[in-house]
Amino acid sequence: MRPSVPLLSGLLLTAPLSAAFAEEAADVLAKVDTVLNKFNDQQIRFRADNLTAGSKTPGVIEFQTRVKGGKTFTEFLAPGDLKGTRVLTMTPTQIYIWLPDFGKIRRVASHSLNQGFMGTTLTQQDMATFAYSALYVPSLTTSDDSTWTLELTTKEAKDTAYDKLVMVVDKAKGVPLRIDYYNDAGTDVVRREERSGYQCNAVGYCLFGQMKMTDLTSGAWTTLTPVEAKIDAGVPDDVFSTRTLQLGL
Amino acid sequence: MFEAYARLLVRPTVARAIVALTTLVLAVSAGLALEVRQDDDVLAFLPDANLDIATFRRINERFGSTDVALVGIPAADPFDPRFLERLGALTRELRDTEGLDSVLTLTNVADFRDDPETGGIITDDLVSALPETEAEKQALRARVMSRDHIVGTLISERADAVLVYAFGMPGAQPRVLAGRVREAVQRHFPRVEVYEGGAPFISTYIFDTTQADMARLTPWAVIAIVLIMVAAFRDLLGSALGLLATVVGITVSRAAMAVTGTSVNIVLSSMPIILFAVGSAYAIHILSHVDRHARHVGAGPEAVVRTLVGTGPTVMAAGLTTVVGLGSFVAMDIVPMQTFGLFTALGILVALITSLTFVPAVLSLWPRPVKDELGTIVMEPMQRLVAMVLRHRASMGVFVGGFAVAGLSLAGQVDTRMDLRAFFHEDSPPDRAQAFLEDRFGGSTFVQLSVQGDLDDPAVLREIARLGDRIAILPDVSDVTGIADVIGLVGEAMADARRVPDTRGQLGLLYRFAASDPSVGRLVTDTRDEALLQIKLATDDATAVDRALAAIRALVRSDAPAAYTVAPAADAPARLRDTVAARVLALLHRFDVPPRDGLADAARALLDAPAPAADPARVIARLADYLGSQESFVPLDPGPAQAVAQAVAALGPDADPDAIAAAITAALGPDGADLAFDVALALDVPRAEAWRAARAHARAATVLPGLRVVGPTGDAGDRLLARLAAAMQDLDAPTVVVPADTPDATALTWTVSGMPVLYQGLSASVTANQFRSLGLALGLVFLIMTGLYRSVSTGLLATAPTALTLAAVYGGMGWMGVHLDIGTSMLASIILGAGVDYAVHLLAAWQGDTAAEAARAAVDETAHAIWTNAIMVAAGFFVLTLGDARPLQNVGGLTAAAMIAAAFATFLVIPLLARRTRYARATLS
Repeated sequence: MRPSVPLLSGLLLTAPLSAAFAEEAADVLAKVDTVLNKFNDQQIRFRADNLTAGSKTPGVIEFQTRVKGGKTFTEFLAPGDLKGTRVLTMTPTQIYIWLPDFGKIRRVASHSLNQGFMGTTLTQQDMATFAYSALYVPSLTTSDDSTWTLELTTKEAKDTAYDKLVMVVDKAKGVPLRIDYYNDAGTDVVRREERSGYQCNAVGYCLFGQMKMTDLTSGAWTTLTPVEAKIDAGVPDDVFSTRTLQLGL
Repeated sequence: MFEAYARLLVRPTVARAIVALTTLVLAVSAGLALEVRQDDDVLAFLPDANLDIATFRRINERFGSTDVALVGIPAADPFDPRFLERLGALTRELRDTEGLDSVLTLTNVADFRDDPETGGIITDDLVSALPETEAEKQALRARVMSRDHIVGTLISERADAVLVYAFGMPGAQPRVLAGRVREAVQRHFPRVEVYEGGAPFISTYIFDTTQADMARLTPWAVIAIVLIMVAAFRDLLGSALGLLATVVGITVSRAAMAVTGTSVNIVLSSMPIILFAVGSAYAIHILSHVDRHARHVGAGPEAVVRTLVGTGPTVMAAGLTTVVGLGSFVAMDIVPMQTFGLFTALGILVALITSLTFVPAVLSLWPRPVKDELGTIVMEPMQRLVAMVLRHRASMGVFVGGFAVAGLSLAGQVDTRMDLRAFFHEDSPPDRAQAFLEDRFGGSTFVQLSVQGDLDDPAVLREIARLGDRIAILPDVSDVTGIADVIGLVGEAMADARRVPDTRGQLGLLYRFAASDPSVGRLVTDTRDEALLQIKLATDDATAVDRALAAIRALVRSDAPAAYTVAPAADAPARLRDTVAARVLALLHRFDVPPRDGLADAARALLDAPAPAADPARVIARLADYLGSQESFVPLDPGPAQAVAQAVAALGPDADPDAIAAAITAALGPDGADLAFDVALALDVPRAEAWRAARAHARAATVLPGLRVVGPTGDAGDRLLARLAAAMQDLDAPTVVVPADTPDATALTWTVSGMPVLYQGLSASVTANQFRSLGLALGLVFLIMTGLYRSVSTGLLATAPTALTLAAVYGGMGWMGVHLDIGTSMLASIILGAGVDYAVHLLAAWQGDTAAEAARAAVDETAHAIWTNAIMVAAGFFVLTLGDARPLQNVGGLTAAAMIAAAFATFLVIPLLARRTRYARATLS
């Protein structure tokens, strides 16, 4: 069937508009990536409160993480069974773990994108994703006075645990306030990430005051709260090595 | 008193008021009755008083043991990419389904393998990508089938079926869970006959078939009752009036449930049939007597007054016995049964009140035409029966006595058995599913062994594993899984040894890594103070299950320490040896190594023998791999790595650190001298591990020849050797649990639980309930009868026919092998409550100058109504035997037979034992 004149004119009229929205969406996501990564290095001590499905009392994990050039070095401070454990993440799928009580390093090449992070609702990918533009194609779905809402569609399904995300972005700061992770069919939200209490420094880097990840199917959740943060304090490159991993800082 | 009441009732204004009030109550109740909710939680049937059941509840709440829905999917080729794609899509959909905690299938189970290129491990899903070529498919098959913990769990040993585990959220409604899983499976496997197992599916099937039967059969039962009533009275309007009394009873009872927030459970759904069958009797007797009196005084108020005066107390007494019979269910410790008894008794009470108020009021206001006396085909046979009994009292007494003794003797053979098979037929979907799961996955009946203690202590975990290993080789046990197995797998991934590690710190770390796996929560609490051993039985045959349960309990009693101390392994070498020996035997069993007599002793002797020397070549290979890998913080090229490994291995396992440093320096040469210190540091732990692993391997290699058994060959043989070698490392464990009864000993609490234990507990509860409710009902009925007739002997006489009926019914159950269960345990009180009515009516009409005359008069007056009621009740219950729900069939068939037997027994026993010419009239009027 040949397209009708009204349909054609409609397509012609909306095409530039769509392109403009696409451009705006890409800009918004780029802005998010910029704001979240506007640092050379960072050193943050986090407190994680973690409620597993079916349990009533959340457990607490404390860890210090150093980030530079896409690599992270995490040292667990509490609880006792995790204390002294260090994790060096070179990429989301290349991880080295220092097992203090075994006295050895284990290299883990993880091909599973949604592998849990120490029994929390966070995944290794959650902990190692710094830029969304590289993984997702954005489209702007709504915009109001204070927020943009982006729908993110994976570029390569094999690179992401979830094919569809909906991100609500704060216009003033350019930071994500909420990210909904959808099921495979793209119909239902199965995880929800909420970030609040952002504090921004002079150069425009913003760090959330609390992040909460909720598994909506099981009710389990994890909150991450920065307890102490040092931005651009000069973390040496050799921190991100197996030598430091084994011998300590 | 009744006369005053009757005179008041027939006043037109009072009669109209009663009719209006009844109509109002019916209308209001009908509105409320619609708000009653359904409750399909079969766990609500579990009484808390029984210790086994309380334990089951506690464990279930903590570990969610009954929230697992299983779906077996047959597959000609489970490695076909199209099949895997569908299974993967199903897995992802279930993962994201509300109310499901997690899902486990072949397509999302995690796996790891060594990374030969850069060291360490590669973690991924076991099926990480769909195979695109035949070679890839075969490689995938080989990988999957080499995972011993997967085969028989997620894929059948013959690779012709897969199993889906859908874990519900704690407290998930089984019906909702089963429904969601079923919908998803049907979407992805629409034309495949799948097999649904696990508690959610089974309880849903039982509930659904019972509900469907009730919905389908209740109208037929009511039609049967109405037809019998119309045929008996040849009066459509009168029959409708009688049924209306029952409708009021049902409606008010359901309204009361709505007001009190009580849900309809699976037992309560049978209330309408019971009420229609039993509750209509009172109106029948009123109608029957109004007709009788109308023939003498004409239709209208006077006939009603005479009926209420003459028959009212009898009907009331008969109704109260039924109320008491059903009310006796409150003595049970099963809440839904109490609810059933309470609200069904309320329904009967309301039907009784309606029969004594509304029905006579209507008959007074709108008298029916006077009809000729109805002849009945039962009248003549009953007259003959009674005459024969009176003529041959002695011989009939012997006959009845002998019958009662035989019945009681057979009744003694009735055993209480709660068994899933009692709930469904052969070749029904759950039966086929059980057969499928038994054939492909070693069964679907699980016993759980709970252990409460300090699970952060590796010695305790090894002790639990030891008991698990001993249970694993018991007959009728197909598999045992515990947290030690999961820790072993994580330990293999993180620390190269599939075993419980040596120290608390190591164990704590492995728990953390394991915590990401949702199924771990089914094996250990997050506070690590209680763990479960999941014991899969190879059968669901009740006798074999009982046998296995007894064997497990015996083993726990004899071999599981209730208190212990943790001793250095050197102080208790025999205990450590026994632990490893148990592991060896369990592994041989798992790998289908044919057993032989004396294997356990031989295993212990083998482990007591001096250890063979470790092979240095294994140490060299391991150290060279490590030094060349990225796990070493000073990675070396292959040449220097090999040289260092050889130099260090040559020093033996007990080398002094200085000698090692010197050897490394020499091996690296002048160019690598500055690396020597770091290499020595990096090698510290791997060197010790390599020697320990080499020693363990050397000892493992002696197991099969040393025990003179033949093991598998090829890949399976290699896997068995690796598992044995891991077990042998436990001989170097630093600590061991030693049973102790000293004050400083630590407690370890072992509790056998699971569905088979639950059934045993429920059986005990049902037996106790049977005695409690029957005792209470008998006592109260006897009191009512004694009070009614003001005579203990007459009270006994009135209950005697029902006692004979109970002996006959329970004797029949014993003869036919019908078990006492929740359904059949309801019989006694229903029979007692309904059956005593007949004796009450017969005794009420028993009057004459001689016994023969009294008997004849009683038969004339009551036979029609008694047999009409008996046949109605029997027909109503008999309809239940036409359904699919087996419990309903048992209850329906037995109650139908019991009602006929009760009517017959009334005309047999009362004439046999009656010694007076008048029992009631003087007293009642």
